[in-house]
Amino acid sequence: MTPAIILDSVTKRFGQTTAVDALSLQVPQGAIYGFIGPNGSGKTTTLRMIMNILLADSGWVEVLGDRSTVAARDRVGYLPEERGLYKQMPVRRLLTYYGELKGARRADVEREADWWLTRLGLPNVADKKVQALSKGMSQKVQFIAAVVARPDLVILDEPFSGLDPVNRDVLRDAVLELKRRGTTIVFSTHDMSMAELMCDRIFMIFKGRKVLDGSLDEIQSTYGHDEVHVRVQGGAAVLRSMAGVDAVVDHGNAQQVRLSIDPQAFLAQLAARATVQRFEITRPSLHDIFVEIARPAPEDDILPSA
Amino acid sequence: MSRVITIAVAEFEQAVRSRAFLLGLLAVPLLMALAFGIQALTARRDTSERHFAIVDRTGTIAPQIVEAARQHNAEQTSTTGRKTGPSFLPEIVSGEGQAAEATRLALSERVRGGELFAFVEIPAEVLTATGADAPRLGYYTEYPTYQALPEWVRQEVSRAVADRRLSKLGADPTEARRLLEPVPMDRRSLVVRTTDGKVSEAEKVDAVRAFAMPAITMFMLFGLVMSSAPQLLNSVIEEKTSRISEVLLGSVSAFHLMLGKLLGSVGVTLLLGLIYIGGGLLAAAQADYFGLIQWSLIPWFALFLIIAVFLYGAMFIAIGAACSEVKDAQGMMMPALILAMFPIFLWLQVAQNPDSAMSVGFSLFPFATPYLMLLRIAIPPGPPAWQVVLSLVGAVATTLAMVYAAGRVLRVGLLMQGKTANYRDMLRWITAK
Repeated sequence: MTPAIILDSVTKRFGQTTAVDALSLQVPQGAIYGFIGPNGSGKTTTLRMIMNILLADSGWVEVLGDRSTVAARDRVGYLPEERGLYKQMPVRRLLTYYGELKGARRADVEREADWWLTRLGLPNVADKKVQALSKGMSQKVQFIAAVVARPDLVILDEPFSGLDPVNRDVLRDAVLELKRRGTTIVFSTHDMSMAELMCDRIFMIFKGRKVLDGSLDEIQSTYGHDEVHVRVQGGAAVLRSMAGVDAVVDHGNAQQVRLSIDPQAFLAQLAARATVQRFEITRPSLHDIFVEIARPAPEDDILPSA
Repeated sequence: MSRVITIAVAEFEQAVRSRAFLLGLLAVPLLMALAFGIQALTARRDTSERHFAIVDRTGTIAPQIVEAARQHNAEQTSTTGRKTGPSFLPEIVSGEGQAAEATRLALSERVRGGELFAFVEIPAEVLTATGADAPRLGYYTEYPTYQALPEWVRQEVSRAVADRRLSKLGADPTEARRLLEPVPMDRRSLVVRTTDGKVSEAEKVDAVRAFAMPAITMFMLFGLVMSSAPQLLNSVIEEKTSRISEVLLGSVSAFHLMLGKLLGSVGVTLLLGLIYIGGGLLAAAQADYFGLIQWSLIPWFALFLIIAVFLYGAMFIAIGAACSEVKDAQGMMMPALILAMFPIFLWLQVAQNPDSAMSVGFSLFPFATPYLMLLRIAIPPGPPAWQVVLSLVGAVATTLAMVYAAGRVLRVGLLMQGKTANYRDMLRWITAK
């Protein structure tokens, strides 16, 4: 099956700044693909190039099997990071307008819009003007606008930011509903736990370059070091004397150990030396990996907001 | 193309539902009323009573002025007793036994006190001296802009003085006045030989046809363009600041977006135009001016309207795309507004002399063509065909260039946030590969 999106050595510069640097990536069809990365690292620029809003300076972009992304545009839905709705338009009119701009028939769009409005718990807003909606409501309307033309690929830039937990769940279920329909979903987020839970594959961009790309499992096993939480008689002194120990963080009653050897082999050696009261292998969370990669040098000011 | 129509329809709907459309509906008639109606209205509504003093140093003229005022006031009262104009109420003040300065000061105080509106000083020598060193009437007032009274005083004093001078020559003033009556004139159009071989009756040309119709046509075009083109700037800025442009650009190209907006605007102005012309026809029928309407002007009007909306609309769209906030737009708009408005200031010169080099030159300047060429076409006999064709070619070419340039500016400008571009940046965007 051809990937839904292929980026091949895509570079985009703005004046002297290189926003995206020789980026290659493939998004499989039907997957939920998470884009993470600190603010200003090139996420939105990449999404805009996929949307053909911006053109790459070099490299090429293929969307839904189409090198000319203009042709694919009608099959792609887009939810921009900052919400773009006409304040004066009634909700249903707005949704049909956005749907028609994708080339869908008005009757189809209206049916789809009503279905989603009901699905997302907004049955009575169809005739209200956008400016009368609360923030959560308008965010849901914005989501519907992105999917109302039944696109094959949906690109969501920060879909969950600023939502309360209830609305966040509603929107998460909506995204999963799209996945069930076979839609490919790319979303960018600063919410690492959301990305861990929802994404089939995760991609991280940092300073315009790809730093992570793969399933959560792959990322955790290739990037992160396994860490072991240990409680052992003799404490940190015993652990430091062991072979294969890179670092020990002493918490007093327990220690956190980073290993350069297989944890199982280490456990065997440790058990031979002292009484082991607790031994727990933990995998690094996406949050930890993110922070580790994007940790700002002291003079930097690009704190990730996750 | 269907997307362009979709955008045009949405733009049209939004515009027609907005409050601005209702204002636009009223703006043009309001402007017209202001331009043409106000003077006539206020002149007619002036039913004030103007008390004034006459210091007559000739000692003979004042009673005639008082009599003239009585007649004037009688004429300004309709048969039903309603006043139709101002009343002039003179009072003769003798300046004898007093220095001229003292009299002036006393009367000035009375004007300041509100007892009098003005006073007039007629020098003794008016009856004798003429030529360069002829003495002048003095009209003293706190209200230098009020014209009716001084005009009337000058006319009546002149008449009285002329009567005295004629009498001195031994002529009868009443007879002399009759002899000096000006000869009336009718302005007529040319005659033609009709189908039955006779020479047609030349039609009388009146001021309404000669000036009002072309002027109304041109100002209507101006009002329509100004009620729609600058709106496009606001609409682009709104889409830019609320990031709607990003969604739109994810669906259509910047150029199609702009074409849709321009078409929507043309639709709105054509609808407004239809309403105005319909209203104008009704009014003309009511006022018995139906025969004056030049039906052939309507297609020209529509054509120039479409050209003007595209030309100025594209210009305002480009400016909107370069701005990040509405307040930035104020400064950027000035040059565009000047381009859009300067032809209006030339209208009277062009109307009075539609074939002068200046009129021809400006009506061929593409940014002025929609207004001034339409004006010239509306004034008989109209410009030569080659000038019309040349101006159309120029205006259409400029419009196409403007639409192309605006499309380029829009493509870059819509995604620019934060910084407002200047004209040099815009030029760079247009010429960039």
